[in-house]
Amino acid sequence: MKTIKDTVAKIKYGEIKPTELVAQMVAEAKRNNDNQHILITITEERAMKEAATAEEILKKGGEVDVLCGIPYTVKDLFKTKGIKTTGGSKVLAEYIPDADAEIILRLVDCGSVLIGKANLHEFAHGAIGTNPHYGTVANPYDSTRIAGGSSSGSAGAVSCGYGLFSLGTDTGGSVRVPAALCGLVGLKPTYGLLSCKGVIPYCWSLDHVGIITNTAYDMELVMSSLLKKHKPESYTCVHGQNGLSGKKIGIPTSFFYDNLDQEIEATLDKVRGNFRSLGADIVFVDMPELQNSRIASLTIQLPEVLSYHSKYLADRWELYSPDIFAGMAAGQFILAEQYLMAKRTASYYHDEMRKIFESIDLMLVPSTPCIAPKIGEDFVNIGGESVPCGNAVTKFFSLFNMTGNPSLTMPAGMHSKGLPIGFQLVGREFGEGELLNTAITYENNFRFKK
Amino acid sequence: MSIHSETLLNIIDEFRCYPMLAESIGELVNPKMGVISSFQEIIDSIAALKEQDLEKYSPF
Repeated sequence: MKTIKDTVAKIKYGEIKPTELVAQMVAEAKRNNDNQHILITITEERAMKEAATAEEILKKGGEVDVLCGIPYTVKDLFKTKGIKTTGGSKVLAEYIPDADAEIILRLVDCGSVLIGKANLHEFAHGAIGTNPHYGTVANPYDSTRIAGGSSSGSAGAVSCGYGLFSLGTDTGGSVRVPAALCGLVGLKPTYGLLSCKGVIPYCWSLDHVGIITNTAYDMELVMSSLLKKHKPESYTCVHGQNGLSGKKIGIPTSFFYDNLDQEIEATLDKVRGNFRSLGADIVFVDMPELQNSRIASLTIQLPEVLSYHSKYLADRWELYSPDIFAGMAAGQFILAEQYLMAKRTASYYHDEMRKIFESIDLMLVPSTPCIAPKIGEDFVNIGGESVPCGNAVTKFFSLFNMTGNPSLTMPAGMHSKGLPIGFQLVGREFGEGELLNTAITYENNFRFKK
Repeated sequence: MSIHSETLLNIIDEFRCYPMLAESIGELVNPKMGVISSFQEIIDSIAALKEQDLEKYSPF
């Protein structure tokens, strides 16, 4: 596993040059991508130019961003100047934007190197990651199982070492689901903290730009660079602490721990014990009634996705695949009253979460109630109930898109079926510094080994 | 009782909505792809949203 931390050191001490690193990664991706379907476009020409530029900057010395020369990928929803941006769809198969998304411009400033546009569930509509047009990304731990989505290619790219981090989008778990199912670290920051400008929207009320990395430490490096010019006052991160003495970690008394896979439940118990051993206070917190959280999220999503795609539906409607089309069909039947009721429910969750965070610093919950489903498996059994895979894997994530809280998934252990189990840490709004500090402290002490 | 594809297609036709693939309507009536819940379930769940008491929360 290559990390940003180690690679920065190797570049600094001249063990590897950005052009060599990028050439290796691009060659590896070109060799394997036809079978893996991880990248829709390998941006070789731009990558080699950016790597050469990074080398020049590094040669000059002075103040250089930590991400200078570091390769990365982006989900193919982020607009890239002069490079195809498909949204994972045939609808935009030939679309070439004339400008980069705002967050990519930030990475250009840092000297980072874009090596590819990652595959996804078509237009981010779905957490499974199946894509009939560009192929389905398999789980790196078991090729018969899904990587998860919608940012499936982003997780695949980080797992396979095509770049050291990847940008994705997360509307109901689309960064955190594939990160959790693939044993990676996935962060959905506070709503609005990272710019969505120049990213094809799925549902603008709930869309967040998120990041996938191999480690929590790497995540902090990426966040620090992205926020360099606009860091919230509350953001201080010291790359972990000796312990977590006095830190109050809330465990919800309902919803998140109902109907979990038994091994996931046992792993979460262990994680809780680990936090306690680091000195954290584990406190139980009452949550608002959350049974309606998924439908509230869906009631906001479906009309918004329809609204954005209306411009393409007039003449390209036959190019959409049936699953996103079904979502948009459903969106046509949602009444304004129902949409507004869902928005009010989201505000209610937001206010309740603020109150809960008055008495805790962080919240600890499972990432998913099940391990990665098999490719082609459409329903999973959760507590005796057959649930669509998409509903199951997003169950514990979508609430935090409505409340806006930063939420990070990281690996907790392995299931006996050989697949990763994740846990989720949730912070208060704009509390990314504290969230990442805690995650790094945990990682330093209980590092999950692949 | 659950809704039929024909009913949804008639509503789409009547309300001059966007054209829809019959296959997609089928996915709403009897979902097989694991991505979306059935239309009936969505409608039933949305009805449950209305049962919530949000009176004490200002819409502002």
